[in-house]
Amino acid sequence: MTRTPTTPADRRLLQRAQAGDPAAFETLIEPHDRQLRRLAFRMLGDRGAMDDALQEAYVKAYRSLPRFAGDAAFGTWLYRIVANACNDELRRGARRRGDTVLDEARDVAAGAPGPDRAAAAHLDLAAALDAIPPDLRSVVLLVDAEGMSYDEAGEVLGVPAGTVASRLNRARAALRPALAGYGEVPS
Amino acid sequence: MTREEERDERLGAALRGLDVPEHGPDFAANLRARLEQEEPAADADADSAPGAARPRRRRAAVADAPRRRVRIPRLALGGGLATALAVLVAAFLLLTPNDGGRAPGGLGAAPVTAAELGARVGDALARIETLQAVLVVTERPSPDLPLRTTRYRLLRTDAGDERLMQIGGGFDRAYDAFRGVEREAADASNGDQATVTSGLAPGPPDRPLGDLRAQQQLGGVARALRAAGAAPVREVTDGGRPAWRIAVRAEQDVHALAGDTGDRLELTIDQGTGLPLRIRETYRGRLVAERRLQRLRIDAPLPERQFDPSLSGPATELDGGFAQATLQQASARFGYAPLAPGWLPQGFRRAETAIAATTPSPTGAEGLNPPTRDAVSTAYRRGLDTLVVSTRKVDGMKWSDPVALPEGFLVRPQRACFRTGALAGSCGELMVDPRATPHVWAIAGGLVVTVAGDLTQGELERVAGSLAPIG
Repeated sequence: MTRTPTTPADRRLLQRAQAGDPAAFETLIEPHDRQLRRLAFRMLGDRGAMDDALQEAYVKAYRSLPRFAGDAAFGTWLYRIVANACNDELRRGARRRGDTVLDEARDVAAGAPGPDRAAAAHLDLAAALDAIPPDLRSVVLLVDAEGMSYDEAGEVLGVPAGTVASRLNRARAALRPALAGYGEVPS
Repeated sequence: MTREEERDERLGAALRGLDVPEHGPDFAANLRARLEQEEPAADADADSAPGAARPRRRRAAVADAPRRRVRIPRLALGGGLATALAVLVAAFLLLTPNDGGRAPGGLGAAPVTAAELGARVGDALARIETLQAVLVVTERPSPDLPLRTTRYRLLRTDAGDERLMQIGGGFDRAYDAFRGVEREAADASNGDQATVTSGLAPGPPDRPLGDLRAQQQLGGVARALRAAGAAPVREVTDGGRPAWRIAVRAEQDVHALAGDTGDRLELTIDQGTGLPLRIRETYRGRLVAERRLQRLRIDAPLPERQFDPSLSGPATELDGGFAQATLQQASARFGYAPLAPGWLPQGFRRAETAIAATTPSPTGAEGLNPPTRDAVSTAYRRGLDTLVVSTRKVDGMKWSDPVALPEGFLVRPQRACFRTGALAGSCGELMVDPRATPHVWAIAGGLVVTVAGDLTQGELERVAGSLAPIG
């Protein structure tokens, strides 16, 4: 996840991106894009807001790339920019929670004719995630979903590791009841 | 992994299993177009080791470059607005080395007219994401008292947040636009208790666009310059920085007869950033007020909790009556379709919407309008510029300008009649007086409609003419 360009080919790619090669930059961020989409979408609840935040973040990262010296892991560095962009979007009121829930409900209705326990469990967890404050949502996504350490998550969010831990406890307490439907449906 | 860093693998797997949408169909093309607009650092070398280099400069916006979010640096501003003069704050820029934050790009060729200078100031303000500064206000509490200087710490964001804190104690007010909450700390010198006001609308007519000491300094300067006509622009040096200076005549009001406000403004604009450096307000040559900004930092990260600080001691809790909602929710709640602009000046984006069934404070001059019922207020933002569109039910009552100034100001509204949009066939008033937030208001379809904010006259008229009920 926190893959940093280490091979000669990776370092070359980084240098080309730092020199102003958009294609090199896009190749550099591509392995992180799905996880960043997950973070942004779950933070913002809407595909449009997700794309807005990620586009802003990627452009900021491209502009800042010449200053990236490799002291931090590249992924952590990129996550921090995306997390800030998501917080900016949230502060601009870009979140549209109702739309997200309706979209997922429609997807469920279009599927199996009868009750779909797996889909219902997904909705429960998504709704529970949606309902917790953004600062709790971000830590549980970074630590439990993306596998970051507390220090890495703290670096991304600009808070101490202790703050990550306390927020994580609260987030997990809020989300675990929504896991009741998980583990009962065959994978 | 330590016990303290135990990961919830089951929760993590469940979170990773949630659907993640793909990017929209235009995302990749838009991103590539924006990346290609960025200029690489001049001394970057593809064969050199990664290291610090100058940040990339943004090229001038390409008119046909697709963008998911519009943040166009160059704006077409014009028109003839004058500025509010009763309270103006000048920005005196003192950039220190390694100041942090973004250094705005240069402004290109020096402006030759006041209107061009006003456009540059407006352009600079529209690009700012965060602004931090020390605000130095020199003024007389009353005409017979000596000048007094007060220093404030000022923070503003492009999300509409604002913090104004008197250095050394006293006044401290923070506004969180995202939550619609204003917190004002207790002032021991006055014996005032702390106050928390929730349920605030995003702007006029239900609340001003920020603290007067902070708000009108920036947008007000741009408006003053655009209205300064053929007043000459001089190149000067201010605090060692190249700047432009212009003197404009200030509109009089009844307070000016007693020397409360000035009849002349001298504006100094920093050439490097396009931001106001200083404003000196004089009345018949005697200094009335001077405003400056020091230690200005643009687009630097802000410390957390600047706009929702903790308050010590008991606080009076007030409710402005508004709650955040969507336009669709407003329509379902109030039984009428709120109005939204079909056209906005380039760069503006919809921010928050708030609705209120009723509010504790009537609108209008001295609060003499009928009680507000079923109000919808939506903010649109671009940098530090804000535009607010509001509607509320007429209820068969007689209304006057909801955004009107208090008594004592010699205002001269213009009649405005509309031929397009939801206001078609109605006439209202357009206010571009120096002392007021630019605005237009009218009654149409059983609604009192206002459009108010940092726009030129032409922009106001066009926005108002484009209003339509949401679909």
